[in-house]
Amino acid sequence: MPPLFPVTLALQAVACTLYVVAVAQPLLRSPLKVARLVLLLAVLSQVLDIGWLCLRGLHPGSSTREAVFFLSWLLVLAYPVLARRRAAPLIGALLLPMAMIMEIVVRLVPGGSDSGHVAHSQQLASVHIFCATIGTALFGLAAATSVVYLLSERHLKRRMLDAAQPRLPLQTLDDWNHQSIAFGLLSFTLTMVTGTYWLSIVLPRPGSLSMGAQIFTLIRQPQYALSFLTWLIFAGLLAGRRVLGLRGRRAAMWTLVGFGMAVSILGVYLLRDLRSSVP
Amino acid sequence: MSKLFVMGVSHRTAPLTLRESLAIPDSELQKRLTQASALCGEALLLSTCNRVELYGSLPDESAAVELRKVLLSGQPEAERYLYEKRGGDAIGHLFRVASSLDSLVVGEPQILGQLKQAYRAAQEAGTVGPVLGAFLPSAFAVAKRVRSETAIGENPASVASVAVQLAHQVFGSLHKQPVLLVGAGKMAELVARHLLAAEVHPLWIVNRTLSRAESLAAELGGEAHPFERLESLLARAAVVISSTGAREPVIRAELVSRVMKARRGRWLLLVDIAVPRDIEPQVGSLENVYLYDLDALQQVVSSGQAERQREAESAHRIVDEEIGRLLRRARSADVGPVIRALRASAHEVAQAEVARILPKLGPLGDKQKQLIAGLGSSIVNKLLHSPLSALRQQAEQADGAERTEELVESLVQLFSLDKQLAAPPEEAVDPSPKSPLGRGALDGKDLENSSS
Repeated sequence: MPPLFPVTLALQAVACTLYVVAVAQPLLRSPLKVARLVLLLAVLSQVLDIGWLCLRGLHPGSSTREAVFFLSWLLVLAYPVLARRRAAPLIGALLLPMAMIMEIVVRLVPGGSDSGHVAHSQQLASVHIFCATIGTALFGLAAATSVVYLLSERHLKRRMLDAAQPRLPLQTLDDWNHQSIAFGLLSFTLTMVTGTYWLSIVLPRPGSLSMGAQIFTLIRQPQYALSFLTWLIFAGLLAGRRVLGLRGRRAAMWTLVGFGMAVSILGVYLLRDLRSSVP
Repeated sequence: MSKLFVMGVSHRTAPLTLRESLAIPDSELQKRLTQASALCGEALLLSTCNRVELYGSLPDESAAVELRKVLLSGQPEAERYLYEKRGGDAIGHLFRVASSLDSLVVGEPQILGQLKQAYRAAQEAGTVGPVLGAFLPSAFAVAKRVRSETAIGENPASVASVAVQLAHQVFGSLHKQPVLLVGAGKMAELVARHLLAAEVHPLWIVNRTLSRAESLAAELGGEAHPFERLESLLARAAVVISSTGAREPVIRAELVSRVMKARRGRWLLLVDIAVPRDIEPQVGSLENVYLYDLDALQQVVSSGQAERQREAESAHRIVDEEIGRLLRRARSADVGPVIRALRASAHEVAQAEVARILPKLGPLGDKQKQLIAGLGSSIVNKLLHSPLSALRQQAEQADGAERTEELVESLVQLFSLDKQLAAPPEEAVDPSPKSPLGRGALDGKDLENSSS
């Protein structure tokens, strides 16, 4: 376990609590200020841990476990970047628990290696995992803004205009959602490309297995099917926005579905690591 | 004694017609400021639709009579509506006015801007002196604190401001967001004016009678269009304000559904302020369409007003707290000269004793002389430290005015400090750079009653 892990977790818990307080008491400025400071300390503490892990060869591209740990760091970092102009404590209060759950889960799962058994494609695997991590982090950000969008939209539809709790405008939230998905999809597409290339290296040659058998082999492994579905959902969201004007509530719902898929891919990999670690 | 003084009429004391007749036109402002400041040394005139007030340095009785004439512009019958406050009461009044606690619509933001404008006008006219120069910035700071620590100004107080706030919650900035006015009624005009203040652009107006739309468009700087263009304008507008006199809905769900396809899902805020309603209620269930009718808007206004009243209580507490702080600062400033006089007197005695004893000690080096002189000062400082600290603490207590006064009087009598205290101000009075209020502006005693 990285040496500062408990410190990071404690700092994140404090920051999360302060964001919840800021959501409940929007007029109080101090919780937001303190939360920002605590969050930056958490980011720093976790990056030191990541550095410590890298020095031991456990860089984010080395295994799903380290990739998810890095992903959680990106999620925590995403909030101050996103909210640099406009405070959005609800997004902070959503992203932090998400990141904390990821960190706890990966520390409970024994570390496996995704690339160690294919030494010649080590670098490719690292790039693949790194791109997947960035993509998932951005989808996570999009999912958090989607939740806030759905809550705000519900309030407006139900005519619950509460001026004392100013919400982020729907258009701003939708723009954040769109931008996160656009960059996330770019990264995820790279993940798909590197993954496909990696598979072409590690799978048996066409001579030894028919094309149908190869596809069947792939489909039997849920992480590939889920990855493809995730990519389809987010690509569909972007295309739908451009062609059909798909935005707002429906876009937010599909974003949540897509992020659920992305998280389930990580879950599949982590379960695989867990099973492989059982003697 | 605090030298702030205010006299005037407001919505609390005088009817609208009288307030209108007393309003000071811009062209006359400088002349009146000069007249008033000639009578009381300093003057600031605040003239809004809800109040006409003169702030200045406390005048004597004959000057006060003349000031009434300046303010009431030769309408002696208005004198019975006039109020006058001085000292702590005047400070409390100023703070409440600046914080919008004395406004007709509590929490409305305009009054602070109007007060700042009045202050600028007085500065330009050269009628601001140490009293106004001390209290007006304090009032602005208190108003700022009230705004930032309470939600008094957050809840919209009118249908028009609710519409603007709704638009902000959907679109964020309204800069260059197109707005469509369906109908050219008074209410729609009012909402449009609020939206224009938020920099919406362009403003389209459709009306069954085109000439009416054209005259309103000319007044508001918008564009008039025939009613037949409603659908194409709906497809482009971000906010729609509808207030026709039609008996049947003019914007139906089918039309909006069609329009939303053309808009490719972009958000549409519809504000229906017509009675009977102009927009079919089913429109509100369409995706990315937000429909607010008059009932919904009124509901927001009512809850906003109740919320404002609740927030006003917190705001009053803040104002009282600030007055209390001012009071304590004033009392601390009051004990300052006594403390300095006592220390000076004690050090004088010590140095005299040192000077008397040194020749009797025989030949001494410079170091020994310095040590003996330092010993005298050190004994004085240590002896005075506890009682002077206690005096300062007493002065800083919220309800310590009377006791502080007793202690100060005792010290003056016991140590015969009258002579030191009577010295010129530059010797006896600390200008205290930390305090934003000069010594001439206030005195602790008269602030006592203001924090209620």
